[in-house]
Amino acid sequence: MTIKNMTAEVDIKAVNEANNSKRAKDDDDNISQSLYLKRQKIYPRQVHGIFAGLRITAILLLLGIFFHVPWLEWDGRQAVLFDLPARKFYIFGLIIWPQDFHYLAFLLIIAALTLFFFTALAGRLWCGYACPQTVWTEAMLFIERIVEGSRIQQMRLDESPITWRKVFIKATKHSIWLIFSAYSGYAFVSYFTPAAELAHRFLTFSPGPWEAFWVFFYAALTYGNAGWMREQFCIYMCPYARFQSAMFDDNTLTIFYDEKRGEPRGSRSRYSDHRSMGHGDCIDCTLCVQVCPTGIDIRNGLQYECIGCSACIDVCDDVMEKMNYPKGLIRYTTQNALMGNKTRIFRPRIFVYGLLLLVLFAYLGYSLNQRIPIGIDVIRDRNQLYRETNGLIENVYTIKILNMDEKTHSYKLDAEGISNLSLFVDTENITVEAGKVLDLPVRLRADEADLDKRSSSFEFILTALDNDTLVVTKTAKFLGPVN
Amino acid sequence: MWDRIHSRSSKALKLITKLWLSFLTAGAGSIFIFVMFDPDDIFHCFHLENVSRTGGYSIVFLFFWLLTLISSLLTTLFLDYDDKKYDS
Repeated sequence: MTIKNMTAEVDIKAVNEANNSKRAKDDDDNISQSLYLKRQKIYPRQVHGIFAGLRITAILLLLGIFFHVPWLEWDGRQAVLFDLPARKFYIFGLIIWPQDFHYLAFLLIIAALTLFFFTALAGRLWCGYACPQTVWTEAMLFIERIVEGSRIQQMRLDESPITWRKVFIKATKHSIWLIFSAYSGYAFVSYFTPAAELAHRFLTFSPGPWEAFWVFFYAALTYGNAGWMREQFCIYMCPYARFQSAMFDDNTLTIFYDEKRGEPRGSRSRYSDHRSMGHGDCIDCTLCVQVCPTGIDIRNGLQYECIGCSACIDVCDDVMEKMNYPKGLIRYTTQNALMGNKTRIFRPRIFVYGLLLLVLFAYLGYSLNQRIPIGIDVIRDRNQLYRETNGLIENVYTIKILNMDEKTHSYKLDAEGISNLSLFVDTENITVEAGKVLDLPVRLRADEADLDKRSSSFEFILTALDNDTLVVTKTAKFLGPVN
Repeated sequence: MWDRIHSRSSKALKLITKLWLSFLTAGAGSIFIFVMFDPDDIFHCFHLENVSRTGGYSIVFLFFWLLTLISSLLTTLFLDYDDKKYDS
């Protein structure tokens, strides 16, 4: 319902109220109902063309990556595994510990900025080609087309009364949808639980309760979102769709209908001289509306429902070719180009996003390169602040050593910062296996004469024996009697 | 644009939207909590030693989701009324 129609109805209501209060009440009820437009199911028509090809390629590639990555191996383990139970994320050669979480935060910020950058440059590329909602919806539409047939066949089937044939076709479609959704749910969970083990547990009907819950949860989400919600998700629920217009300006590449060239629209014979008939290039075949997955008419101008899938470009180009008109009545262009102005690709917005991205990438690269795969934590003994042993002051600590590297290391521990500080470790050999944590109790002794304060700072220094560059230091406090 | 969306979305759609947005915020909250705390430690505090880590993550996430959903639902209950109904 358009805003215009609503206003008209409200005016009528006002008149009615003056004449007859009972009828006015009835009208009121009608209006409050008619404000909610029941969703009309959209049957997008299949498209062929350059952009459809690009889209299908992107969709197949992304689905392929999503389903295949959990099965990749790296050093005898799953290459990409967000191992929540072990609190470690494996991304190929990189192992991310909770301590390294800022790297992930950085990656997320980079991903968001990349999205902004490409949106400013070329509109909703993400929505049209790469968003999981688009990818899975397209897959579901593909299944629907295979089972139910073309757009017209689907519409006829939905309008027809229930018959065994209809039940059979619908049941087949939903079964395939459900199997596809279940496999998607399994693939998603296998990023968090080793894929092969999970598959084995499911095939032997013995999955863990939470694993089963999440597989079914994500399967249901896929089935509901991609099978049923489809474009409604983009229109009503997607947060990005609501604020993407903030990244748009007159130089952003978007899908436009060339109104100057197309209007006034109207049907005509292929061989007639449409200019002399007073027609523009648009033959009003409404194919652009029929192919639109969100059910809009691109000829009404850029609308926020448009996810930039470019199906209307492909289908309109086909029509233009058949009519022997130049292609591009609907095309990727900018507001500026359409108004006859110059399009500026390099503009402050692009520079700012680009520069920020560059800085973040450089910093991430640098800090990953400089990352020392040792973690050290110092925990003071809580029972006693200090004790006196052989005329010296003794403090007790537990050192937690994390080996975040991919191989076993032996370490040397030192303490510096207070003169004549002596360190006692109960074990001679501090060895930590790859990816493990060692709790090491240590005692430190110092002469009371060397302590000038109640609490003196010093440093623990941990060095790998096989590699001098693997060094970490940690500042700690040494407590003694008040002087 | 926002008016257009609101005027067209049905009650079911509004509920699904609330579920979805609270799902997102609960997810963000869970990430934040679990970067700082091990679920094992959290459940030890409540003497629930037999909850696995996966279970711990799930329970805390679902708890957050319930909270964020309650907040969303209450907000709509308090604010989202039909102006035309009550204006007269």
